[in-house]
Amino acid sequence: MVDYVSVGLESAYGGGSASLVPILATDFNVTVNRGLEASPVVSSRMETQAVYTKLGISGTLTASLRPVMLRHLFTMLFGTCTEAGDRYTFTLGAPKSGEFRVNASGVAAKFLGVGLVKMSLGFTATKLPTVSTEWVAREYQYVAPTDQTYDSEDPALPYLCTLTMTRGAVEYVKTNIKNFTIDLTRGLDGDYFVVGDYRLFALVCNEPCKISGSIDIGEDPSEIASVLYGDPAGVDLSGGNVPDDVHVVMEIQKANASDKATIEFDITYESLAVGNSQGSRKRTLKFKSIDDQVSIVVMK
Amino acid sequence: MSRYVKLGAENATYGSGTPATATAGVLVTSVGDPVDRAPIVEECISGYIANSAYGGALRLKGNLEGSLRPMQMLPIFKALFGSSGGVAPNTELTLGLPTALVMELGEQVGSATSMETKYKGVGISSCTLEFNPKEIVKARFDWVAKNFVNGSYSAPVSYTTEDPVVFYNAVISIGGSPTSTVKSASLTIDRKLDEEQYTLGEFDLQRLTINGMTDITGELTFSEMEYTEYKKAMTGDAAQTTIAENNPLGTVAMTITCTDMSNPGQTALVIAMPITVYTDTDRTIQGMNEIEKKVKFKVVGSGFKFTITDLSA
Repeated sequence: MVDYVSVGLESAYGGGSASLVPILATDFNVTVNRGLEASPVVSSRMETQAVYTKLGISGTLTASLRPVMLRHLFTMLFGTCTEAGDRYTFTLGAPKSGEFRVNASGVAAKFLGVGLVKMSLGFTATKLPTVSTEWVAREYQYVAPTDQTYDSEDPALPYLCTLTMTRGAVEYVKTNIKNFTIDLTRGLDGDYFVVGDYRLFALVCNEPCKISGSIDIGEDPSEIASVLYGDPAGVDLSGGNVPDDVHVVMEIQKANASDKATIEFDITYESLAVGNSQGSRKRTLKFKSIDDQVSIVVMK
Repeated sequence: MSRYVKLGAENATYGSGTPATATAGVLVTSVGDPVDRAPIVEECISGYIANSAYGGALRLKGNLEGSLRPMQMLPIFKALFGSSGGVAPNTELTLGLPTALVMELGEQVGSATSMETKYKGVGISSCTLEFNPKEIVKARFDWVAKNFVNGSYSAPVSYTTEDPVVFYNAVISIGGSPTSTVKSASLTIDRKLDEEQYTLGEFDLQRLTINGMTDITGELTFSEMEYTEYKKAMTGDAAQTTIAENNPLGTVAMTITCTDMSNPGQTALVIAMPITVYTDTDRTIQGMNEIEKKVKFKVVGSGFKFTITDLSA
């Protein structure tokens, strides 16, 4: 049987899922740390009394961006999923837990109480857009492998992705973006252990959600000026040390030109790195999103 | 059965496919136009073979080779250099940002089956001129393009009258003096066009831009009678027997002057390389054959230019 990954939502933390969706993953990684501790004692030249302490389970999961297929991952990260009509809308709430079932070389296991620590969406002009996640889990157990049936869904394609920046009411469709990444970090406490249990006890955030990212852009004086002066028409800092608030919408279309998904958020530029090396030019703009207006809309 | 290549400068909109002026036929000996759809294949963990493939970044890279006809090839040279000036009948080409061409490639098999492929947003990424004895001077161009459209065969009505440059029409001068010891020569101009200029939202090349320093290099094959230039290439100074402490490179001003066969003595093309640095030497002595002395060079600094003269004017 081939390897697989399926994902489902839990109704209670660590309780497992009754409905799992197989996803086409390109990379899956898990690390289990049994938390071995050995005590040095004065009466021995060696450490003695090795015991297992907290169980650490973490890993990564990467897949091409198939928004419907990955909807449970978005729910786990964002916390709030509103299903209405022909779409799912994901907005920030308390992170949800899920279950991963993974088959690797005939050994299947389920990971319970999975929480997504971080999700990165990567858009590169010549590659399939990717979703990369970092996750933690409460526990695991072996299960019998099962056959998987995948939903039919094409991945997002880079040439069907359009990034629009809006300042005020003016929209700028950006046609010169070579790379675009957005990282969403939920600030999950991966060390939330309590007395009486050696497993992760709950999904609890101990930091605010942080959203940041970067844009690799071609020649674009207005966007450079936006970073440097807070104004795409700026030439100096006479307007003060002000930021340029930009609303960003990444629209992803299906091959038939109908809508597939939309990612929407506000950004404030943080830094600019300009590199001129042997005639080549690189401009990397880094940004942060400092409000909770981020959302993903996925068309069914 | 017929084939053709027509070329012309593209208007100001990159990739429009609209020539600024009508395209004109260029006599070429070979043309290659591979179309690479570069499919994107997803390597999932759950299958022995990819589920499907998706169209990727369209890569259009080809080549074009012909006998050197400076005037007929002027649009190509203009696109390569990017900057042109001079006073008629001379056109002086100097290095600027490369410009785009429209290239129409037609083929007809028999009398009924034919097609033309018009390449839009064509950039000339490099050019090599080869001067070999007993041959017509060859000009080879590598190109990239944004996109294409297939259309109807439409051969050029005529080609401009121009003889190619033959090896005895080309004179190489070193240090201002014509030399008769160069058996063959080559010159390559590599503009380092960025072939990865793809952006989100589009699958084809988005603009012509350089991604590196233009590299102008070449090689001279001297007869065994040449000692001065060979020693200059080895030590930096023909009068020196060793390399001096300051490690000098042999530097010369080189010019290649091409005259027109139909207009004896009249210059059709001058390639000026005022600061040419010898980079390495290679001498082969085999049996009692003539010794081959090869010297590679690199053009640096300012002043590199082509001057093409319209002798029909």
